[in-house]
Amino acid sequence: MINTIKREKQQISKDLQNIAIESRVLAKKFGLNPRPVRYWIIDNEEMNELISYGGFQKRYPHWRWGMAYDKQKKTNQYLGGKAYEIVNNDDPCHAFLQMSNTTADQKAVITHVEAHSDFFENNQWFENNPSASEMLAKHSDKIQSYMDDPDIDKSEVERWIDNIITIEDNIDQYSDYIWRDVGEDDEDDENSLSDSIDNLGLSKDVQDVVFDDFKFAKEKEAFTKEKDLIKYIINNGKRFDEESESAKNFEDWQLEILDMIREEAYYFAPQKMTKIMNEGWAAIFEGWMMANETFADDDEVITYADHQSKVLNSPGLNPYKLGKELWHHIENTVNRREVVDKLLRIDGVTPDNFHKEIDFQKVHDCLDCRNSEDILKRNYSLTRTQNQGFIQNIKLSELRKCYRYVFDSNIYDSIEEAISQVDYSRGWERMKEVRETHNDIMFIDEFLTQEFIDKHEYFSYEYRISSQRFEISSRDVSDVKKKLLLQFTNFGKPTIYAIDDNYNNSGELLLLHRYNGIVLDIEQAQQTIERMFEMWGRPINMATVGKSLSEEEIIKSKKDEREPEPEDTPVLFRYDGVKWSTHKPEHWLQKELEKDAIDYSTVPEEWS
Amino acid sequence: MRIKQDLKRFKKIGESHRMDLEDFIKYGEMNAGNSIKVPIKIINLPEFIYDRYSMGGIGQGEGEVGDPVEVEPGESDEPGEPGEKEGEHGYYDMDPEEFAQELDDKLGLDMEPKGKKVKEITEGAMVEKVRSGPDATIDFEQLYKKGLKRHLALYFDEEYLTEVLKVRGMGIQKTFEWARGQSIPVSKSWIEQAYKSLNESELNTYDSIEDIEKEYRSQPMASDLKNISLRREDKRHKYPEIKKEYEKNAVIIFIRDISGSMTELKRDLVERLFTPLDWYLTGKYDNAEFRYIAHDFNAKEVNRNEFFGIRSGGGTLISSAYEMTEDILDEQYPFSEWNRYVFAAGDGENPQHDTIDNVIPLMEQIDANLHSYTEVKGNTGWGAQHADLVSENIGDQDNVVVTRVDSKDDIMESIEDILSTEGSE
Repeated sequence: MINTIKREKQQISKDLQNIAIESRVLAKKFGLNPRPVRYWIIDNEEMNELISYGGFQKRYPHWRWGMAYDKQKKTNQYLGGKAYEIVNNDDPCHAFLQMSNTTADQKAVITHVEAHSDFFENNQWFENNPSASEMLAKHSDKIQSYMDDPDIDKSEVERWIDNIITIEDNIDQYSDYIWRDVGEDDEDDENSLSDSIDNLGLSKDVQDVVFDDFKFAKEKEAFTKEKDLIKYIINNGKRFDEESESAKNFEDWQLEILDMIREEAYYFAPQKMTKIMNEGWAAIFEGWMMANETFADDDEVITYADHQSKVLNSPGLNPYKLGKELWHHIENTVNRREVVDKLLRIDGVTPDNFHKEIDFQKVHDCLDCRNSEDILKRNYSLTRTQNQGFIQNIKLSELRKCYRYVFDSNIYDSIEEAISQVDYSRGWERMKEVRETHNDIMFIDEFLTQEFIDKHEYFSYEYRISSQRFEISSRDVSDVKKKLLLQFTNFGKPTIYAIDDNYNNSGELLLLHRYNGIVLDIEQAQQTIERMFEMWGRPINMATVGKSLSEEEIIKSKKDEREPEPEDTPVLFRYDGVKWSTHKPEHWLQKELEKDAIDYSTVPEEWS
Repeated sequence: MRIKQDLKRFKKIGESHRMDLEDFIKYGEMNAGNSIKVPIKIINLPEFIYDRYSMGGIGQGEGEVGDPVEVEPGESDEPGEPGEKEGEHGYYDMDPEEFAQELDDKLGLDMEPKGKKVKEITEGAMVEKVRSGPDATIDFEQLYKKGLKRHLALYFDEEYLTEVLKVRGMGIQKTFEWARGQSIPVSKSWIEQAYKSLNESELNTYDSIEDIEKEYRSQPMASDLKNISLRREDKRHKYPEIKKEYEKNAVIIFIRDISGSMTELKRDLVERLFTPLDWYLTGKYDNAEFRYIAHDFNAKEVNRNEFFGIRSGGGTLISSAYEMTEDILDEQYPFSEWNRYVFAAGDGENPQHDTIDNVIPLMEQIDANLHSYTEVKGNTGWGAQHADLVSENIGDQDNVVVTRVDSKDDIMESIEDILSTEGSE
């Protein structure tokens, strides 16, 4: 049985070898530069396992992979969901093909994979030459060894991992040199200082009384904001020892696990930061290869189209779809600008008479190079059926903008002449640049336009207190962009800084929420801090802002028939390991809590 | 596979996070029908996230500003890596048997359902014997054994006996007497025949019987087994054993007041009471049939889905429901073959004369393992005396129980009271 499967896999991989090679050749023709990819043929069970492990064969033991696996299996069962593609960011990349996929699916997966590999290789947010499989496998072995260690309580290891995972997204994903920062400069001095104090052989109580002030005293004014909470804990944290009810230095294994999970968080961060772009990039390229370049055989096209629509029409905000649509939009607008730039140089054509003077059908016919030898010409976006009318739809304001750069107007006599000068590669070249330099936030910020929002019917929504439900708040590009940026900035999560490791002069941790008008989920924040306590060993404080709604305001807003306006209230929560208390933040903290310049609210004026 | 260990660990954690059964009955979703979905308390790890109301979001589709947006609770728009959206693992699917078991454990119940109805007459092993039947069912082994027995009983060594006749001076009479002395089953007529067949010269071959032993070895019996005769009177046909199996079966009648005074809250309490009873008995019995009667002034039978939803504005006459119950039970569920449960609930508002003159006699008249009446959020004023009256008049009967539920906190106790009451037959 096992041998039959093995033989079947070998056969499939033999069949797919040529496809992979062809696909690579085509990718290069398009100007892509993918990293080498190693393809694996696997069965459904293995696929489920790989997906649960985030695309790798070996991860450290943890229940949440099991949970993902359970879900993956159920999804497969109920929806007949097929995992079509999984590729990891490694050097070489490893891509996994399910043996039950049809040839059409395999081709689609391979083209998709090639594009991802190109993205991993060329996007600047990714590290060069990762050796991810090796790192993850090493971590797996290490953590397993702690679990097997008779001197370490297995459940404590699991608990420790759980604790760290609660803050795994609280890293400084934009910083370049993450590894060198840990345990350097003055932190070291302080540690050695406290070590030498420890070596004096004084009792804990005496130490606390005599040296505490000296040991941890720091100037309030000169604090730094550390976004990487795991790093902060590695440098300054202590474990809470239940027996002695006091803070103790970490066990070696605890420090090691902190390091490992932090390393993994940094490794996965670029993928989270470029999800929309990367998925869109792969979808775009897959489309060109499969449909335009007829990489799919005739009888495969229907299966392929079916699979495409299944992936792209999933409910909710779909990164594949948003990404694909945005990439197309970039391609079209850049190409259009090039065409319009040429058209505006025709004798007598100005932005104001553009729509009257230009015969758009003629423009379209002249541009049409679908049978061209040139791969970029035959894949030119503006001549595709779905993009007809895109040139015509250009707004006067944009025409005027283009016209500002047209110095030598009136140089062409006809549409034919103007179009013959069009550079067909403009859109594509711009896309390649963007895929090198941008991340999702930059991508959305730069390319989301009102035209795009209108075409794809995006809207923002807000919770309305007076009607107690979520309502559409706007269809304006600036509002939709705000909400999208909110969802993708910092993984869509609030930014929390560690700003003091000696708050109240007693080694307490002070966290500061960088308030941007959106309040925290307080319940979850408190649960997270309760877990952090186990890694800090001493009380933890958190300065944030709550929204409070006074009775008075409720009555008043009802009378005025308007949305009640909650008031921002700075607040300091403190957790001492047993209970929570609430305090008024000091003045300097209140200043820090003032809303930053970016406003994420899209509440329309008529609501208030 | 390594993942199996992670899966096992997850399942174990998941079970320990399952919502407590009592909380589930009090607060859980009841309208799940046959599948019992016990929520698993959130097992995703906490993290710093935005308040979802404060955050708002992005959608795609038609609609004007101000139109409501359907946002699934707990569902965020954020695209995730596999395994990131952990909250989706919300339910533990429990089957009714497990539910009944858990409830038994929780409340210390020991309801042992009785098998009543003859489920089916099954044909067991072919161990019964009858005199007639198709040839294929002939018990040949038996037939042969009987033949063999008879053969053995009648067997004697004919040649040896013939030799005995050749002993000097034995003769017919003496040989016969000797043979009887040796317990040889031989008839005198056989000896006479054998004697006649002997020649004169043979008659004095031996001087004594002992001399035969020197000359003659007795025939082993086996050599003669070929000639066993099978007789018709020994023939038996195999026939299957008949087993009567009793099925643990029950009919459960739910009676619910849908009159105008039954508010949303009362309806919810009735549902929270009845649904666990429904699940419990489904789990306990091999075959549980449920009938739903909704009544105001008149009673009507409805299906399960309708049962909890409907309302009317009318007054109340509980006896109408009991009359219908009696009809249904007598026609389709004879008490000799079915366990019967009649659960009624309402807010107790019923004309006093109806309770005394009609309902109570009907409750006494309808044979059942259990009659329960649960008053939900009863009005304290006069006019809501149904529960009191039932309790006073027939409350001491061992198959009658009256409970009161004023809030969700009373549900469990009420369920316990009901399920720990059962009449003896």
